[in-house]
Amino acid sequence: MSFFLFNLLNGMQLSMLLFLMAIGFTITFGLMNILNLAHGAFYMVGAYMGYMVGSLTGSFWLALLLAPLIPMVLGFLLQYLVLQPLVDRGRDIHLDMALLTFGLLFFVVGVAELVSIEILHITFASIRKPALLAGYVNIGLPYPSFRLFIIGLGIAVGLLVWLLLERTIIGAVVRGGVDDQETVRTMGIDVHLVFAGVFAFGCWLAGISGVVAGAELSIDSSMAASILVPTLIVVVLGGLGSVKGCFIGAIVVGMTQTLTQAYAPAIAAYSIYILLTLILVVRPQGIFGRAPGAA
Amino acid sequence: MSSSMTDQPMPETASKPPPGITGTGLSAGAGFWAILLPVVAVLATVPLLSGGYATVLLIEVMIFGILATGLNFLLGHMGYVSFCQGAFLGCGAYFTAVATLFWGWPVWAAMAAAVAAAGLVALLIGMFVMRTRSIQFLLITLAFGEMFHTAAIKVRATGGDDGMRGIPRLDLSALGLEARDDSVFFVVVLVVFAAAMIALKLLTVSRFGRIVAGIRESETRMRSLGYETWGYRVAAFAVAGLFGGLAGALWAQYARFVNPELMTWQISGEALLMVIIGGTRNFFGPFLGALFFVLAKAWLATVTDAYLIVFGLLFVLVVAFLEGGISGLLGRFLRLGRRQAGRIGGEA
Amino acid sequence: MSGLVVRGLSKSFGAIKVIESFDLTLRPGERHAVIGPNGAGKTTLFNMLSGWLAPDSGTIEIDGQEIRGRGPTAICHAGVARSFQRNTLFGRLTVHESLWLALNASRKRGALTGDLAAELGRIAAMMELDTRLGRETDTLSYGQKRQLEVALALACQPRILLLDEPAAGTSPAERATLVRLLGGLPGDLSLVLVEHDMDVVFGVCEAITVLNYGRVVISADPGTVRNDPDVRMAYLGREYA
Repeated sequence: MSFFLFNLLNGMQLSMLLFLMAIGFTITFGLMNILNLAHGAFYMVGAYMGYMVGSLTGSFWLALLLAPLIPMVLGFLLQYLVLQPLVDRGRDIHLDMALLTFGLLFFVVGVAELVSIEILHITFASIRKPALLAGYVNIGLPYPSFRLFIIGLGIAVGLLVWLLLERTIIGAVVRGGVDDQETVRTMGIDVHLVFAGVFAFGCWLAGISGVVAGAELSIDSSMAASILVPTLIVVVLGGLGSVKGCFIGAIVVGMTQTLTQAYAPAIAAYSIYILLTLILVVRPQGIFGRAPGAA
Repeated sequence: MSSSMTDQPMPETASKPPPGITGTGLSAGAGFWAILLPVVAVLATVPLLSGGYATVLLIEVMIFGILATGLNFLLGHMGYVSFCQGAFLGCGAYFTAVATLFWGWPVWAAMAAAVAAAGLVALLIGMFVMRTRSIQFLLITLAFGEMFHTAAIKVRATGGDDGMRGIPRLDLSALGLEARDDSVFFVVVLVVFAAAMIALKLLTVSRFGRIVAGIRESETRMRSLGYETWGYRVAAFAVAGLFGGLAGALWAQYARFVNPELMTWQISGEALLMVIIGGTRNFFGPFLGALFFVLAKAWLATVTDAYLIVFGLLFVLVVAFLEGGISGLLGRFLRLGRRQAGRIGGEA
Repeated sequence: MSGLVVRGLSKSFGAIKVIESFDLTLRPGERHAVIGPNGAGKTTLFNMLSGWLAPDSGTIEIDGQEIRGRGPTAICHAGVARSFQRNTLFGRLTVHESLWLALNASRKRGALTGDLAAELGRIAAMMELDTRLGRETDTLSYGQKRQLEVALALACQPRILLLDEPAAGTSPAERATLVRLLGGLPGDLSLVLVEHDMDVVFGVCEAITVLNYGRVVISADPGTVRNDPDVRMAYLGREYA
């Protein structure tokens, strides 16, 4: 029984970690139709920055607060100065932007390898957890408090994003701006700033997930790429561009991964691909995705 | 592209297709041979004239040329961005290794079977993956590519992380030749390369190729014309897999060693890089991209370890500013005045 | 020779009833227009007839064969072809290559029995594109593209042709050409035309159905429709009816 509870909690923790990683990606795609394959890069920058802030100040909380600001600013600049002008010049938002951000990913992974090995001389690093959360909580069995923190954080972020997009004018403005820039502009709103802001928000979330992962997992130059596949399986499963889907998808993937590891380790490595194939057969657009269009 | 061009009545009657259209795919345009023959001729002189290093580099160029041109059938010709070409390279390589090392097959048989196996795998995966399009397709191929990578690492029988060594090369003893000599192997690869280019070109200009081009231009229209497009898309995916597998079978013999590194997303990404930097609209664009990639990487290695940085940047710049890639650029210089045509069979 | 019979066709999107109880009987060779103000449901109707959208209820029959709810490829096999309101052409392919694709499909399903090259020439000539065969579609003028839209549909060897606003966006000269070319279509081909432009409608069609808010207002010959008070109200509003 307690073995099951342990795995259930582990599953939830992994799910929330995946959710934090995937939600930024989902927001930029869902609202702006930009597939940011370099998302992992912002995640990794958040982790490295978190490590630096954490080492310098000794405080995890400061790292969590300050580090994600870097990817946020970088994201803002990227969208405003690079991506937006290209889209305005008529480039195909979907495939061209996806390829472009993929090139960026290559670039950032290269830089990270260079920096971490040549300059920082670190191969593995980790952000120190805060004293408050470094211990265990007794819930019938000792469970790492930090993992409970991750679960809580994931749920909180999910609520925050949902509120922002569904309950405020921001979501409507962005969606309107994607459909018809001119009209939104005539309402006195600088659409480009809004887009850059949304992109920055997505990168900020990536940065947060980087700091959290940096404390729970380890930091190395392959981080950016290693979250790529789990993130996109979450996103494909849940339905591209859906926040609800991202949340549910993360839970499905996280739980499947954890429970197969615990109870059926032989197929654990392939479990997420089996999931992917299943969803392709049953519902290719994902759980909350829009049905494949007609004409 | 300018509608101010005056309309010239075509000299031919409607029943005879205007120049540039091939009929049943039994002939490729003059432009194709004008490029292929000189390329093959130049390549053929390499093992005779220069040292081992150039020979080895160009073997890589030709292998990646096959990989990239096969990928472009899917990317440039049909408009689908696939991130799992590396997986097919790996499938072909691993199958060749297993067939020769474990089952003792002669290399030529192992190669043929490897190509077929890669094509079959692509066909099976394609049936699922082609239920999606565009962005979803991109993401799913990325995922499936990783699946192969994971499998290669996990499966102990094929050496796991360490891979397999000592893969033999084609047995040419009947000709009195030894393929372990890189110069001899070069010629083998050259022959296969030329054959693969011809095969892919024929596919591109065939009826099947035309239909695939139609899907690229407007799948909606193709469906309302009565085409069951899913089947064609799966077939195109299988073609990419087939030629990826061929590249893999050659690679296994070239490196005489296979390991899971062949199936990473980086390799798939590099294949995409070659295609895009070389140019998707020209049949020989991907080959140019492969040439550029291999040579630039070799040169960069003398300067720095971080070739990813340079290529990543280059990728971004090409996607942003150079839509036709290198071949598009060359084409513009060579055709100063004449409008670039976007024929079904590609430029060449 | 083929009759199209539509009965009780309905479609709602959520709470909005876009088409309600639509009936239409098309005699073989008839030229029928469907007109109505914007938002009347014409495009939805067309998408249902051409298999891109499944109706909620009702039947669509060709020669007694039910084709409702089947996809576009099946509809094509049943002898129905459509053109699109917004150009859905093969941009980088030439006119010749485009027509070839359409005719190749027809040949594969047995709809085309004669020589493909000859038929290609015939259709190109019919839509006055025979001097443009080598031109890439992107380089054609807008009017020529609209002609190609129709030509591609014709190449499907249909018994029933659905034309979705063939004159959309055309200049008066291009429109006149289109009317002339549509008038030259074979007499045994049935035609359903969705149009806004009355010159095209009156120049081509012998029967008109008027749609408003998803319901049929009237279905009769052009003269009767022109004078019907309900129609005038639908288009012009109470003040001017």
